[in-house]
Amino acid sequence: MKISSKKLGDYTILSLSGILNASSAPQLKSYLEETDFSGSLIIDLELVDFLDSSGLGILVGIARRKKAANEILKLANLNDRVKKVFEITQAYTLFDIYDEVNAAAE
Amino acid sequence: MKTLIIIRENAHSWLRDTFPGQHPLLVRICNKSFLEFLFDFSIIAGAREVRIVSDGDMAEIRDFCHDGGRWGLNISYATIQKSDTITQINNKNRRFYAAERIIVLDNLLFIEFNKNESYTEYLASSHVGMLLSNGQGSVYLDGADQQSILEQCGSSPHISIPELGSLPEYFRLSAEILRQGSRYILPGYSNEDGCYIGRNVVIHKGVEIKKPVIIGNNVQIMPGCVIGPEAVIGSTVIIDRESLVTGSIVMHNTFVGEQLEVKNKIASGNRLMDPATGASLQLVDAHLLSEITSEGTVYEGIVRRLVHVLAALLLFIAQLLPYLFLRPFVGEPVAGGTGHEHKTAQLFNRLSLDRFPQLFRVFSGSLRLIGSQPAVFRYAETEEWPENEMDARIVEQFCTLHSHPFGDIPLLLKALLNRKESKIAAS
Repeated sequence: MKISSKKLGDYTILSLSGILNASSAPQLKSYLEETDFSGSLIIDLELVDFLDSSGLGILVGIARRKKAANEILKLANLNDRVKKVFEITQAYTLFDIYDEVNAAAE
Repeated sequence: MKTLIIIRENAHSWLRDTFPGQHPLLVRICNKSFLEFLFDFSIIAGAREVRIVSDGDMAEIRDFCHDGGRWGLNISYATIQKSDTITQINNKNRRFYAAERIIVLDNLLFIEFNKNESYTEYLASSHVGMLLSNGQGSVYLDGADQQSILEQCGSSPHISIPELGSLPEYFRLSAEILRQGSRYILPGYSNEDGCYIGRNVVIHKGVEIKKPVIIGNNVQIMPGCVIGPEAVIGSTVIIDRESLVTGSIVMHNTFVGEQLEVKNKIASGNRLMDPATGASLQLVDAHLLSEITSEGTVYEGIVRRLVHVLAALLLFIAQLLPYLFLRPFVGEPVAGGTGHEHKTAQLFNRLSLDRFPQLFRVFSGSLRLIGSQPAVFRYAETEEWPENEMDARIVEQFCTLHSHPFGDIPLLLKALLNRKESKIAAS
């Protein structure tokens, strides 16, 4: 899985690409631990090809930490495959989901 | 022009109570669901691209609509939070909005319109903002204001929102749609004026049909029946011989028994409702009134049960001796699997011996070995991260969707190996 980040206004944009499952979850976990992601965060999921329950677990974990720190987390650019996983598992109730990164960063 | 349909989960709860087991927007009124009437309005307004957003479960709606191809629409889906305002919803759906005029149907079940009038120019030329509202829902125009492109349309076509918050109002609206059939029902549904009959309908000899009447798809009407006037018969319905249905609605998947008189009532499954008083009668005699159910995936169920019994047998053999050896040293019944100070109890749980007695219920067929609750092992126990029931439900719904009988075996192994880390309680 490819992970990159950049700044957009007050937000940090974390872009994920590839498969987010039990095998790649530790990679994302260690990336988040090594990099400073304090403040408002947008996760761009446009290029995520596959998401399973372990991948969802990582995202739920980030949401929980952000909520505890009173910080903002938004998800953006969900493709149809990822969107369907969020709908079926009802994980969407835990996240603010946007069509576009720019709209999320406003 | 595009249409945004906003569905808020807590609205229309009376429909969930009255017609349980289906999404309120998929409840049928005459021969179409509420959602299809909203699609019809969208088509008439010239909006072929529709987005459905909801703060609740949309699986049923997705299964019903797919990409909207069968209505000639392009349908997409998105989720919102319960507290989101129109502005927040606009922000979240920015790509869908683009630079277009959007008709927002917020929390609506039905719009009264006339397909013989022109709505496209009127809606495109009206100012952005609230168009109609009745307290329950609204029609809102959003997106690009095209006033500069189009002149304000002179005459406004008929458009209104009926009050629709109870069974009598549903019944009244149904009768009105039936009477004004040609106003709402698009070409293709109508056989002749006042008589709308669907596909695969078998009407036996001696049946009397009195207009106006709507009959859905896959319906059998046996000899000697009288249907109508003002009767709405849903899809997949059987009306047995010499029965009378007049001024009534027979919902889909309903069997009406022999020599039964249904006058000014709503028959749904095995329930007979009086829309005037709201009284509901549940008939226990399946020969009078009952629900027609499908067989489901019987084959998969048998294979899954076989796989679970075999896996439970192997687990039983592997656990029998450790259970007999350790059980006397574990004083009290061990539940959950965490927080026990006693080392034997911890080992007992770690080896999942606390679940050993439940294996007998798998053999008897009353419990699954692994699955969503209730089961000996929960799907949620295959992951380390769930901290509460909401998390557990996310995992269980994911696993349920992707599960197949043989796929349960690796999930069982994962749950067994994960017992130490799992924070979720057993069934």
